[in-house]
Amino acid sequence: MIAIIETSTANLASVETALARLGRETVRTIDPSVVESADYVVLPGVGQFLPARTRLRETGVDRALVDRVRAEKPTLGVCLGFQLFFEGSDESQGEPGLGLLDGRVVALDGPRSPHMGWANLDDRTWGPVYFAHTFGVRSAPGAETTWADCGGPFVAAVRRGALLGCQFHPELSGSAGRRWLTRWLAANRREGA
Amino acid sequence: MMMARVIPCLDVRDGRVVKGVRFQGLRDCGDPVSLAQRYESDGADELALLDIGATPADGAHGVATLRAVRAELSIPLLAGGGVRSVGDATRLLESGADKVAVNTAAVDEPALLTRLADRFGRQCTVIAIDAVRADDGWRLVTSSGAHRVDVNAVVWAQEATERGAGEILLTSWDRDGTGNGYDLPLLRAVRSAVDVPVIASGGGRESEHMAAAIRAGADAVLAATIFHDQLTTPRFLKSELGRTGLEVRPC
Repeated sequence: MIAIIETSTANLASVETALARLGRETVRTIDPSVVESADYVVLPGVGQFLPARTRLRETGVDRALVDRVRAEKPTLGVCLGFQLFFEGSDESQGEPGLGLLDGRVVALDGPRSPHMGWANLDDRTWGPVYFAHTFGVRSAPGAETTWADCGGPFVAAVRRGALLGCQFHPELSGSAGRRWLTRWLAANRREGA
Repeated sequence: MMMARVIPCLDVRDGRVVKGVRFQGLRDCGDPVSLAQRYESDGADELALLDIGATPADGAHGVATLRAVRAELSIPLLAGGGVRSVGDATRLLESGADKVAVNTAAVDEPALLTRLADRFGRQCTVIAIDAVRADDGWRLVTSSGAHRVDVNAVVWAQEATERGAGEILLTSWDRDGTGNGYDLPLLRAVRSAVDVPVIASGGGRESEHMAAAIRAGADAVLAATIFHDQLTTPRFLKSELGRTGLEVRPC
């Protein structure tokens, strides 16, 4: 079972339907015990850093996320969800992130803002993926990193242990996104999942 | 720069895709879900779903079509039509939209853009601007063309992005439905005034029109009838754009 964290009800349908098209059942939750124990967890992202971070804190889901990542349980963060894994964001200065990854989220300076549309990763064999964000991460020390470019390199995806984060939206990235999600699910295959 | 996007637009009324010139003489073009699936498999980079049955008086509705399309779609979905409030936008985003377009309601109350951006982020907040040529530039039309507003369209584009819009859907009212190409001076004027992505709409028919729009500053091109009538496909258009040296997503 894949639990999708509901910091806001918006934009969950994209993730849900993408996983459904891969034959997976999902459940929406803001319950820390469900988050801690689910086979897979997705932390999606729409909106702003502060309200999402606040919701995670007031529900205790932030601690559940830290616990499950420590226990090496597969956890995927998408867009804002990915950004929340880091130490903090310039979007909401003074508000700490989950601190699961080293590095900070900063405003991206590129030819267009927001950075929105299809672009290749440094590993072009994936094909283009879809980005839609104003802030991003320029450096993620200590983690396996996939890069893209917006006024200079930025972190498109990051992996550390069972934690995977994508700045882009795999659920909106057509066939490249399907392959990305499939690889995540297969690499972390759980009995009865 | 990012890859130029080709975006088919579905104008939906009563659960059917329709099309006409400047919203007159609407004709049935088919089932939204079938068309959406066909366009995605034909190389569309994104899909726009505009509820033209909704008016500023009705408020946004018709989420059934949106849900049905979202269930089958693996590319971004922009929804709009009669969005009047944060509540209307929330309904669309909860039903599967990735971005919401507002038009008349934002002209009436620009602070709506800020409320939407604060709640959902700039990348979810699209300002749809319908521009008509005037003696000294362009003015706005609103309420699906019912009203002409004495506001400079380029100045409004700039203000809207400052208020929180993260993308502009820029439609030339003069060109819409004519197949005579996009309004390039309009695109250039808006491009030089804003930093957000701009989607060109209104008049695009041939790949040459699309290429010209992108070179004039559009990040994406939107069209409807040429796809609904199967005159072309996103794949064909993108291969032509690629041939002229523009970067597009292969499909």
